[in-house]
Amino acid sequence: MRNIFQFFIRIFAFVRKEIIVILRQPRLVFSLILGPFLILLLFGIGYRDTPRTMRTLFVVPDDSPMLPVVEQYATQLGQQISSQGIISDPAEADRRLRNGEVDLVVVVPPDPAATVRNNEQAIFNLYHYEIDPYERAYIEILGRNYTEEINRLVLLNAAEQGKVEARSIQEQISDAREVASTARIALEAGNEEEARAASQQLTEDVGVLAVAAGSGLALLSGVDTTVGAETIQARMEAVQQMAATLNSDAATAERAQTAAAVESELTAVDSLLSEYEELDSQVLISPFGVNTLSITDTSLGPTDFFVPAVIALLLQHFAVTLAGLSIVRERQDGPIELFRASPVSAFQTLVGKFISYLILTLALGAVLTALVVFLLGVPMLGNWGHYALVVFVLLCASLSLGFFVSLSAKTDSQAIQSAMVILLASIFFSGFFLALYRLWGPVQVVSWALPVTYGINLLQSVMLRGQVPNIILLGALILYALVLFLISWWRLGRVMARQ
Amino acid sequence: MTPTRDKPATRRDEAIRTHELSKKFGDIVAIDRVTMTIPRGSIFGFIGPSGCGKTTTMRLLLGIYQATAGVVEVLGRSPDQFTTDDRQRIGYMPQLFVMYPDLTIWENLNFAASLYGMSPRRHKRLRDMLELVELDGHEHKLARNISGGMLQRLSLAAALVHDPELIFLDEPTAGIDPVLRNKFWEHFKQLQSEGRTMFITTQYVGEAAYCDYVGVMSGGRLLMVDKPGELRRRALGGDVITVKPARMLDFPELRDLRGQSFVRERKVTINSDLSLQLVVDDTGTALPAVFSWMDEHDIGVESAGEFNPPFDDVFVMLLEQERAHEESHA
Repeated sequence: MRNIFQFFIRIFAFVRKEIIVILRQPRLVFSLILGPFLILLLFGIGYRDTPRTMRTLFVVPDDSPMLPVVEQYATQLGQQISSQGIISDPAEADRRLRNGEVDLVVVVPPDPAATVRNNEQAIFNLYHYEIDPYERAYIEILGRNYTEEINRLVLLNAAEQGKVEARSIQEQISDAREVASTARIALEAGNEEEARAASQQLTEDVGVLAVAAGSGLALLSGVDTTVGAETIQARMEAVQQMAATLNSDAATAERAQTAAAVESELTAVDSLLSEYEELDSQVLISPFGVNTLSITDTSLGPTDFFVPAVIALLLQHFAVTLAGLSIVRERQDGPIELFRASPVSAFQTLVGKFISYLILTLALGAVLTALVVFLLGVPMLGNWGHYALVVFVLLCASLSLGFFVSLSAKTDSQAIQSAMVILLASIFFSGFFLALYRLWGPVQVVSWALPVTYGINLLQSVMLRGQVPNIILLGALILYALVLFLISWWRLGRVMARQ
Repeated sequence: MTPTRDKPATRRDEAIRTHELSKKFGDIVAIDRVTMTIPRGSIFGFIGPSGCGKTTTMRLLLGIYQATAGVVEVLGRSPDQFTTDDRQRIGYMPQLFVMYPDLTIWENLNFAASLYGMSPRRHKRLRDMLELVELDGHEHKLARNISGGMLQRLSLAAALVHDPELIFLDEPTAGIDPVLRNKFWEHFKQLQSEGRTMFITTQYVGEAAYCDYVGVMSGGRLLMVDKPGELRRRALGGDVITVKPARMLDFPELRDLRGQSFVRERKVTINSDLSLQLVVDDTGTALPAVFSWMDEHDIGVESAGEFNPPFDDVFVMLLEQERAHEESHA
């Protein structure tokens, strides 16, 4: 019984000593808690989820038919394009781009109509001076959006033009319908001569209409096939054939019936054209849109998304640094010599330090979490118990890693360097800002050798999705903590053993 | 090497026993075949020049280092097999301060007490220790803010706080003022009287006089272990008597004196103040004979007495003798 009591007294000696030593450094405690919170706060305040506006210079030859078009649309291409003017000299544009006076130079194809007539796409060349791959990708996407916008404007014009043509056709249809009505009435009255004259007129009118519909509505057909441009054309052709039979030697009653059918068909075509005219040109040219919806229970901002990762990263860093410095300092400053001569064991030393750092980092995690959730308003959709469990296991694993580092280092500067290398690796490989799937498979071994990778996954799922922690990830993290603790215990035992 | 007299009767009376104990660091021989036996309840002083292997020997005895060869037993057990209880019976004060600068004096002492599993009701014991080392009233000072001497006293208190049976002190009085040093030695004597065994290295050779046994070390070798008085006799070749005659002896008188049986190996020298220094077997028997010889030759004696040179001189003499001995063998 006495021995068990003494066992815990020795462990508690380290718990108390480590806590006192750390709390005796108020600046350290202050920077440990307030530092990370201020970083998160600044990030939240400073982050702007708005697309970059590119200062854009257009290059159009003086005699290009595109000049008026560019002049008209240069300022209507959205917030991302801020027109800095139109010039004709590509060399001057290149100079201004290299001098950083503009971000983007758009070289407009000189005669796109001619190019299209040659069955080729008219190409807009976008020049930039970016070295950041993400900025390059942004410009490529911007270029695609830009040409889509140009194409959309072309289609919009075509649609509007088509509507004008349709109105003109409708007037002609109205005339033709009247002629068909005259022919039908004449036939019904037995007035063959008038009927023949009207039929002749109708045949001519319908012939003209078919041609007009073929050319005028061709634009409409190019814009979209769903509104029935081809149907109109087919119907007009059918009307043309029916009109031709009115001039035949068929029975009067049959011809009167045909005239009525022509009249009815022209009314239907007129109705179709009216329907077409009423359609919004924007809908006409882009009948399909996209709407992305998240099934998460809340809408997340970029800060919200990064907070669990930052908490995991900071907690790992604190734990690794604290534990990383602890044993190396005992070795460097000499207390280990006292431990070797005293009854204290490697296990008691390690457990005592482990408990003290766990208490400190848990308190730190609690304060940090309270600040980000209640002050920054970061959502916490999951169960607080699950959250605490994940943080606890993450800290255990990080402390074990820290002790492993401490036992590998010869000096405290080596331990600090190792902690910084782990921090750097964590930023790049943990999924902190780069999703893990972007890393080559074998390199992901590094990711899973870091507690923070598990921590980020688990904290994001608990905080932002409200899920129960993934049992495999949690189990793996517990195993990680256990294995590294056992290795550290064995190594400290060797350090404290006789030399 | 065993103290020449008062040899422990049994193994149970031995606190420390080594036989041909050696320690090498790579090719360097730090400790070379040290053999000694230290009885329980004694104060063993370990003296020798800096770097001679005193601290290494102490670490071997504590089980901090593993011996390259030889046998070592401390409290009847090899340090290899020390149990927790064995270690609780041992106190250790390292040469340098190895505690925590960011803890107060009290917290450091409390930590040391906890390492030895002392009960939480140790408040009085801690106070007593602080009083002993004259650090009471400074409990709340951070160790980083106190002087080197105070750090030394704190280390001593930490080594003694759990009331160990065998105490290893590596230069406990270094940096301590003479008054406090004397107080320390009084306390060591008291601990000895309570049955504690103490193994003390010291850079103050004069402190050897406080010890029951003194080991002299040089170049990793234990040159000799003996009682302080015996070491002095070894250095001087016997007891030394200083006699100040009323007049200067003439040559025949001097030759006659050298030939007397109480004078060892004709060793009579004349000091600069014309006093005589005689090496004798035993002061107690030789001194009356000297007076008698002076009287026979009608020579008055102004003063006479035993000559006790400082241990620093004794130490130097012993080392020089050893060096001369080695050279003659070489």
